[in-house]
Amino acid sequence: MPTQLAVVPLEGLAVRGGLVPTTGSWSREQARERAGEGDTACFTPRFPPVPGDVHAVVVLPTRPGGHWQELTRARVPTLSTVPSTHVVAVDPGCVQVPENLLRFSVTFSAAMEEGSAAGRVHLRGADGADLPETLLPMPPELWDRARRRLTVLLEPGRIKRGLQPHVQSGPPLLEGTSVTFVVDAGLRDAAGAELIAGAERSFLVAAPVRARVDPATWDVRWSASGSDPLVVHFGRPLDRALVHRCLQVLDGHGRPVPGRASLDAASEVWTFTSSAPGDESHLKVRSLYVDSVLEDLAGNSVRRVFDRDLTRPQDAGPPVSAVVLTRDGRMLRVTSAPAV
Amino acid sequence: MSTPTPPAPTASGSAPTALQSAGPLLFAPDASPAGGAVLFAADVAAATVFAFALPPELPGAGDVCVEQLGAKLASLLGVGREDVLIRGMAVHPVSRTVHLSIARGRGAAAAPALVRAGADGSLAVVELDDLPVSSVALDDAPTAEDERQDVWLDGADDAPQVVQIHGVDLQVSRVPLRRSTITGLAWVDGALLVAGTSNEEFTSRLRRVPYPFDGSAPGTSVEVFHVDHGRYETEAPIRSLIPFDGGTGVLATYTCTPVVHFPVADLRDGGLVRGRTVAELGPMNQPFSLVSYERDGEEFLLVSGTRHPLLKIPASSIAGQAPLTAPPTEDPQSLGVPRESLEEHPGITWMASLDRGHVVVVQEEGGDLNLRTLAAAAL
Repeated sequence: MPTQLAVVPLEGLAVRGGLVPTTGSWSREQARERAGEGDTACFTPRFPPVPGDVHAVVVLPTRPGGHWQELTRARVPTLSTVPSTHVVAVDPGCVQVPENLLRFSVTFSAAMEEGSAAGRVHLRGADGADLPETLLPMPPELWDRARRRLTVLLEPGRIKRGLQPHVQSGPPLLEGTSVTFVVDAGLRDAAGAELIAGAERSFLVAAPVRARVDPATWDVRWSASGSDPLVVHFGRPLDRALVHRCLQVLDGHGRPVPGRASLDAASEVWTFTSSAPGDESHLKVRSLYVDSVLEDLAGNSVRRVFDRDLTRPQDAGPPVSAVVLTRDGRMLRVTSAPAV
Repeated sequence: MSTPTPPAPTASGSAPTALQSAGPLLFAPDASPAGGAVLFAADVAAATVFAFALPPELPGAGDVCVEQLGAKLASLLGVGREDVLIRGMAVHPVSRTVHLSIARGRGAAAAPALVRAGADGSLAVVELDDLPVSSVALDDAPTAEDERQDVWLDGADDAPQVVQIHGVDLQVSRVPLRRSTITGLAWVDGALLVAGTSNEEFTSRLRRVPYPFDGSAPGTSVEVFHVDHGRYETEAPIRSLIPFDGGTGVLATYTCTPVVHFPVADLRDGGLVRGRTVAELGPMNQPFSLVSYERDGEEFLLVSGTRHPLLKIPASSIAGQAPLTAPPTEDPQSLGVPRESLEEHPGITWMASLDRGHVVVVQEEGGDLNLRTLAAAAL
């Protein structure tokens, strides 16, 4: 048996100036004493091979400048990865989006692979053609910790007033037009399988929104009885992930109240139902804590307008980490330092 | 400016030691007397920075060049070309070998790999499993009930944030699905700078992390803003950053194209950092990598981008560049510092400093990636 064996992927045979063997370890077994059996060599690659890939086993030259010789090829068995993952939701969930929309997000039914999203999400115009340079290129891919939710930003340089890309190329979206956000089926889940199907959602582009998210303007309907939920109307769509993270219902002692929260499809109405025991569980709902990083669809937060105009004082609010809306109608500010 | 040799990390029993994903790389600038160096590797999937103590290497010289880098990496790692993605690059301070972090494979077979390229053009996988390592996590650890659909957390978060308002303690849970993504690393003023952004709120967070990692919350955190033409102030996620001007400043590129400068002193106090925009690169143009070098005693900055050719900017013009305050126009003067396009060096993405007179780059040519060394005289 040749002593200088190597395994390379099929494409690796085209490398000029000498093959680059795949990293791994070889072990050999001497021929058994039964007739007809020769030595056996076993290669264990350092990294798992990709199902379906073809690899070549070669004999490396024993002297510089010599030629390699291919012995055989082997195909890595293909796993029966039947597509089972699909798109659960595309956000925003509303029909209209502001011209300065900052992000889309896609939620999948299972954990996804990192690195397969680039080139597989698109923004298309009414004519079905991709709108060039409207989505921020990936990497980095912005996944949540569970790798089930992908955030795709529109080009911030084109959204932000005062930057050259905004001046020269205009905003990514134009008021009065319609666009379609498209997710290809070619994205792969954590098992390496493609999606069952792609997904898309169309939007009408409305006027830009350049105002802070202001909890003082919300329509907050505190629950009147034990079974009534707390209902908050924001007045405009907010970012779904940030709503789930930034709102918290507190009892009279400042502790989170257990319960179930939900947000409507348009991300404008948030509902909280207390699961605290007792007939008067609604009274445990005393205040609503709002983290000031909460953003709307254009990236405007409680703290500031996304691209804050320094000549407009109303574009920035007081430097608070949160505001608290109380059942008795007050709005309290939470600063980073403990209040006196 | 010389910095003290960072002590080697020791194995951390409870902290994670295995890289889950490939991301930016950075060597601590000085090595041990034996030739050992500390390599910082960002694990973007785990929002963690690892510090590995690499085995000692002998001093090296000469340029590093690997033609057909993409094909050779694929062959070395046993995959097709499309399953090899470079996610970081750094140069060993002693041996001058080039280290690449690679995202390799797909699906269940996906794994990060660290590959070392030598001056002889050889490529080899660097084994990290048995190396002394320490780490720092950028995000709070998730709670046991990390299950979020439309179900509210019951306040059983074992690490609630307590804030006070009017004498009442508020125990506010943090839903843990938010994840930071690390976009850049730099060693500035004796500490590690970690640039990152979030998958949720649009923010730019720059953390100054003392090394050795001491297991506590990662250092000082500042939010980075920039002011566009004197009127609009926005958050600015950083893509890449390097120390500048003898380590007294930081140059950074943002996701929305400007090149900005801010003094290191601004990072020490926490709070907000407002970068001074020194250059805009124009539309449809993501800055990729920054590196500085010296030619004839003068410092220059190189900026690679997704679309524009390699840009060369004299450091002296950055120091003298006033903040861009005029409204943006079509006039090239409104773009900031004068810059020279190096058309003779197309297709360059990753860049790292080999030494002050040489830059190692990944250059696309002939349908493949190539690792090449450019001398200052050619820039």
